[in-house]
Amino acid sequence: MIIACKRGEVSALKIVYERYYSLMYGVCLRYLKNVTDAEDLVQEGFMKIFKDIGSFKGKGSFEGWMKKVMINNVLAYLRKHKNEFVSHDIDSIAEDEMDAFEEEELTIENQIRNTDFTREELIGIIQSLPQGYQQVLNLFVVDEFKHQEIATVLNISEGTSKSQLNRARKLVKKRLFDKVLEKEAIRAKNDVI
Amino acid sequence: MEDRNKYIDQKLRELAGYTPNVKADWEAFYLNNQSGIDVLKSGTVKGTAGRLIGSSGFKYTIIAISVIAVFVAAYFITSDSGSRNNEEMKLPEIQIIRQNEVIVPVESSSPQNIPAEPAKKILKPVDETNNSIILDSKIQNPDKAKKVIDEMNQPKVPEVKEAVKKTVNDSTTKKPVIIKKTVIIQDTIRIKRPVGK
Repeated sequence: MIIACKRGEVSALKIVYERYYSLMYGVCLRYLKNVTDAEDLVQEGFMKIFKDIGSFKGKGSFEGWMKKVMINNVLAYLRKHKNEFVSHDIDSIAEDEMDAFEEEELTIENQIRNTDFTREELIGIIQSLPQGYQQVLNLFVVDEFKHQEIATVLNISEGTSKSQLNRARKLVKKRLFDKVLEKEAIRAKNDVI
Repeated sequence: MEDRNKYIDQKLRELAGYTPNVKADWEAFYLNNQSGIDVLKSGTVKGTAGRLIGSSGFKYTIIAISVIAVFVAAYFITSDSGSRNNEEMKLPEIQIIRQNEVIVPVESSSPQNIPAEPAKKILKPVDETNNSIILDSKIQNPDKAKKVIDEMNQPKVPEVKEAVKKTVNDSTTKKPVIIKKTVIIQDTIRIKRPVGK
């Protein structure tokens, strides 16, 4: 299949596209804020994958290689449109949120542990994070990059990567707890009915 | 702290294999990117380049070109250095100018003292500017030649050769006459020193 793709056979490209579209779309959704951007970038990413497929040497999985190409493409897009995302303002809001949250952090952890979250809910929470937090959290936790790699990819220091990850986790906890409260409220409402 | 983050990380890690419920639309993708995909049909750019570079023919061509280039470069380098050596080793250029060829009058040693024919004199024009030997107009006496000291400051002594002894019969007496012909050859050595750098 990959060899046929390298030869540029349309039928092979079609199979790869259809098989991996959904997974790659999910990757884009994690890094971006909305569906529209994700749809555009998944298409762009596939074209990049097809163009660069000759450089895939078979080391590691094809899926993993495709993911990396897709992530790099999304990060390049975000770097290009950096000014469109007012991350500093959002960061300051997030700081305020976290300060208030830290006091009750320990008490709510158990509630979060015992709650199931759908993937869509988790994606929604990640998308709600400030841009910098979103990228570092995705790269480190989900895509298992090292801080050194993140620093290189995002052009930041390793220290910044670590501190952003720490804050991102706290904010995720806060958002998850909000979700827990929301769910409890719905459950209580249903119980009344 | 790490342990406290673990459960968050575990939940988020589930997103690694997240596949939203969306359907791929190949036709739309193909229409939007037809030109790009058509380019791929002839093989991906990197793939084509890779195959070309990987092919043995290409490698041999590169090797052959490299070898030829080395030979050409070596030829130019050696010829260049050779010419430089020649320049450095350049000796003063020596020109031998045959300036005067003098035929001394015929001496006849006939018992009847038959009058000799007038001497045959051949003089080539003399260039005074070249520090050469200028002969006096009386060519029969080469010792009197006016000399201009050349650069070597070594005036040449004319070389006198007794050239030919010819025996002929006198037309009137029918007796043999010996004709002696002396040729004086004077050479001037002109030295041209290489122009200093």
